[in-house]
Amino acid sequence: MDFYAWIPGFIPELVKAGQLLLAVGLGFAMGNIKREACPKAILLGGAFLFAGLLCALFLSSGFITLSLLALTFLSGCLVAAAISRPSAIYMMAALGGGGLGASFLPQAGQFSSNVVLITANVIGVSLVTGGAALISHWAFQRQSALWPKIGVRILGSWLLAISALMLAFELAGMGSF
Amino acid sequence: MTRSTLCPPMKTIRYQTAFLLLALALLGAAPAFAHTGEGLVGGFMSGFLHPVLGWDHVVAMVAVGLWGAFLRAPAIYILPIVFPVIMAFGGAAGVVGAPLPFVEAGIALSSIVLGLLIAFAVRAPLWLAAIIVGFFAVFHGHAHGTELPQASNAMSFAIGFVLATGLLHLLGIALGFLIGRPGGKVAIQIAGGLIALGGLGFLFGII
Repeated sequence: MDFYAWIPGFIPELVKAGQLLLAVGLGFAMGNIKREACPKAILLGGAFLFAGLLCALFLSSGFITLSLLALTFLSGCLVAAAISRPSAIYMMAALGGGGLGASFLPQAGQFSSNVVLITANVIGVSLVTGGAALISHWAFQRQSALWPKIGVRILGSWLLAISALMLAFELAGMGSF
Repeated sequence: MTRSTLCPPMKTIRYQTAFLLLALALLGAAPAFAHTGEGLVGGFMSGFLHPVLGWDHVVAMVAVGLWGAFLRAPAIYILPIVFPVIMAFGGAAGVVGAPLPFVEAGIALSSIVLGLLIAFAVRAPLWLAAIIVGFFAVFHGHAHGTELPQASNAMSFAIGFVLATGLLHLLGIALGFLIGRPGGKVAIQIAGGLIALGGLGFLFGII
């Protein structure tokens, strides 16, 4: 097993196709719900991430870029509007987890490399989403001051705007992810 | 949010000054990377420079931040959220080739209207301010969308584009904090007048 095979799992897989943006958006959205609801959202997101990864091993995922961008757009909406309804966040965690998993590009016929890449991908997604969720939780739930909340909401609006532009690029055939 | 939290005393003024200098340094350093449209970094710089290199865009985006600071909370953060989002939709329309008439006139008008609103210290209700800002954002976005380079990495271009727009708003907000200083309100109103004059210059092709 090549140790350096981990690196593409952490970085380029996340950068490619807007995965990083979706992971950040999901984290921000999940950080804005109450502590009791958080484990459920994490479990749902994790379960659908694995389900998506399994699907990616067997199915073609040509449509996935558009889905990822649409999900990033939705998560940006949730964060910018500071929506903290658990049902909305659960749905987003499930869809986002599944989308992130399904966007994984397996290496044909190389089982061990795929295991390494999937593991690295799961760790990378967990770190990015978890980090964003911690920042969002700190801003929305722990701070009485308004500025941290405003900062996260502005970041959410930027995610929304970036994903809208990327969707347009993709629809116009100008996407080079 | 009270006036005191938006216009804090000396303790936090240093942070505001540092932020203002950082935003200026980032915007000022950008031209050194001009015309680098390839790859991730090139795409980012192309996107970042797009809103920064056109004075008509810069002036309007700073004006949005200034007016937001003038209107205080919640407009101070709602307007900088509304503008990039609507602008991205305008940009998306431009990218997919949807036609929009009077784009250049709309951009020039945005400077005139926003400048006058600041100059006369107009305190519009939030919904009206959001509609005004959103209306003009469509023109700015569409202009950018139709001029997008083909070779750039789409994701890094979009990130740079939105980030530069956001920083310009933040620059306007940071300048808007002058409102709490002696003579600050008058200085901002004069700046609004200059922005409106600049808009007239853009409209008649003088600038």
